[in-house]
Amino acid sequence: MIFPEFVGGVHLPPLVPYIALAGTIGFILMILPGLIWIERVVIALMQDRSGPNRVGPRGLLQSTADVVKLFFKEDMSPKSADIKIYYLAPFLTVLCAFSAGGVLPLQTLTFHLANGDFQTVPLTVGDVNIGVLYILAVSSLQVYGVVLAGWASNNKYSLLGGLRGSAQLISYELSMGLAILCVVLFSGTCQLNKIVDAQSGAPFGLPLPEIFNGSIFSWFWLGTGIIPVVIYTIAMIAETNRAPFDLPEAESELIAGFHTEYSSMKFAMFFTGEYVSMLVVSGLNAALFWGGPLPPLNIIPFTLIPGFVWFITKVMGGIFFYTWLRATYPRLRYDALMHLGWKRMLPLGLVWLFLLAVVSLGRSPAKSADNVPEKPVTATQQVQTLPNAVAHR
Amino acid sequence: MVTVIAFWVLAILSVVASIAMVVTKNPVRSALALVGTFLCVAALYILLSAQFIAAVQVIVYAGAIMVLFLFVIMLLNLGSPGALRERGSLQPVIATGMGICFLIALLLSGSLIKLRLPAGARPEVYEPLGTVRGIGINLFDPKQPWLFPFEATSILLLVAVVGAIIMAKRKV
Amino acid sequence: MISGYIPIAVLILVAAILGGAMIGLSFLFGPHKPTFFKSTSYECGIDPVGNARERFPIKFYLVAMLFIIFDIETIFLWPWAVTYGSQEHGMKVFFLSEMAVFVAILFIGYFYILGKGALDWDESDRAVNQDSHTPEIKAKRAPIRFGNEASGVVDLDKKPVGDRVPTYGASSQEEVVAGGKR
Repeated sequence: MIFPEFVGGVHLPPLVPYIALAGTIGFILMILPGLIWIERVVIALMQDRSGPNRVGPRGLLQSTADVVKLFFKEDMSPKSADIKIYYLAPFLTVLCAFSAGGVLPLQTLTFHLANGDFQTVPLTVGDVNIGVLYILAVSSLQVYGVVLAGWASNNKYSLLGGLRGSAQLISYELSMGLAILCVVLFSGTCQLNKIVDAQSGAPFGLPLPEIFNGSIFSWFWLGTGIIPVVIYTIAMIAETNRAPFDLPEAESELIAGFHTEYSSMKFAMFFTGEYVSMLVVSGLNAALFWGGPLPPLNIIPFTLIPGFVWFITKVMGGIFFYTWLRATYPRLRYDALMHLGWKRMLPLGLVWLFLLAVVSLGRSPAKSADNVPEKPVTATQQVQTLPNAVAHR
Repeated sequence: MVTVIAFWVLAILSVVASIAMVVTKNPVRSALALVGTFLCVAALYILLSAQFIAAVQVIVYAGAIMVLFLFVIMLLNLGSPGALRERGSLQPVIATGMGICFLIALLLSGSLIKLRLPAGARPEVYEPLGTVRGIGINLFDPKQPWLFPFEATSILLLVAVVGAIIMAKRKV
Repeated sequence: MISGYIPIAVLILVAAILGGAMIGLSFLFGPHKPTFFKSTSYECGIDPVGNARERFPIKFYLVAMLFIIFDIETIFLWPWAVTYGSQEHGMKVFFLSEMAVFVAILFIGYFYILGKGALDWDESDRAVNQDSHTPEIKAKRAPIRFGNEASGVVDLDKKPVGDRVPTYGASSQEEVVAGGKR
């Protein structure tokens, strides 16, 4: 699709990030009740029972009713709690969860400029150089919501849940980083839009028909040899505290884990944070390994559908996978969780990264995807070029 | 203009957070104030185009080291209010004196050392240096002097591993 | 380049407003009628015992410490991975060996951690697992049973193996629990 540069005298390209922002926040807020409904219905189908069927057609309005109810529930807080931090923890959870989605590549928009040229602008809130690192940084702050909620409640179950949760989050962050590094090694950039671009070529550089360009076979799930996508998927489930890695809120042993003492909307905020995190990590999974907004085959009915629809479809696929796993697997034991994270995935990820590096030794040097000079620059050179830089103004 | 406003907001926020960190009696809140300072500093790095360093600041300092701090505070059960009450110590007096000395030194150095820039020149940020690629090219280039420090870092980390195990495990 | 971060700052602001609104609205709408029992901490219905802020196992502390070390290692891998692909062949070999030395030194530390058992969450478990391969321990271990021996619901089609005769008509409960030995 090609858009004009000016619509009604408004210069469009600089507004694209804000369109992405409004779209992301609006979509998340709109889909959240739907997600909970989808999860309940899918699990009900898998377990051969009815699921929600009272409020609205097929129980569709159940989650909305729940949200309204939670708003009007009593706002309780235990008197032995550290009240400021007790309120800060759900706030931090929501803040980190919503801000993490800021670099996801939804689509690329093409503008027909007034002077006849074409300009492509990524439909991303912030298409920044550190890209993936931004998501990792923000989700590394998510640990505070868990550990502070556990500590501030002054409840034994909460503290145990908070500790378990934080140790789990930091353990799986390592494996997650290593899996992403495998993709970064091949794409040569951390910027998510350019990682998507790196997946739009022919599969493995083979001379195949046009239809396979940027198809499902040239995405990085296959390109990096399947192991990274497996590691990433396991780590992303652990990072969002979902079954079978839901030890921080294991209801059979810890009541509700770190949010035992939270009621009304404060509880719903942890819930919201969890679901938004699921959307964000599924979105990252889609962008890194599943081609982001690229259609699965480069032929006409697929290419007509706009990219963000494909992106959302892939994210929803991730959400379905989450639900599927939850209905299938029992919870892990804590020592098994630590064993998997530290003794299996961490060394495997590191060894695989080096294997990929050895494999790509034979490849010809790729053109740098970042707009950064190839030559190293020293600080002294930098100072010497200063007067020139000034002279150019 | 945006940069200037952002700088002042972040600078004031980071100073307020650092003061809160020193003043707060409750160790957990103090640690949280320090996290706030780190985040403000990360945002200041972004203003300086040091994007990679900003990400590292958040991932390593705010996301890893401060979590360890919180764990230690909880491990030693310092979390209860008033657990860290200092009695009859000279520490506050000495700290205030040192702080005043540091401020005087800062003011003196500001008036004594002048930045030598050509007339009309403004200190400028070389933007590509702060990106992930800019750091990588400079860090791993054989002609640059960073090769040895980089490899030495791994030995430092190895020593840290051994130290952590020896301190934390009773039966080594 | 910095201009790319302005929308992100706006996003963080919007997220903060959203979080604040959620807390604020629920505070406004919800009733506030605290009673003594409502505001005690929840311990499955009984009166809470002591303070929750107890000391906790040093294991968590150790995990956080090891995490910092490996996190710093992965931080160095990022600029390496970004620049690696665009190098000439000779430089690639140099880059690879450079990083291989770095990671190899750290892997010594990793194997040290493994050897010391710092990553074994349950130390007693490790001791059992190590010794469990010796035949004496294996012999001492009680046979796994599923509880159906005592109930009498036993697979009747299955022939008794060796000298272990199924105790269908066990005279006492103890006899069955003791493993059907006479």
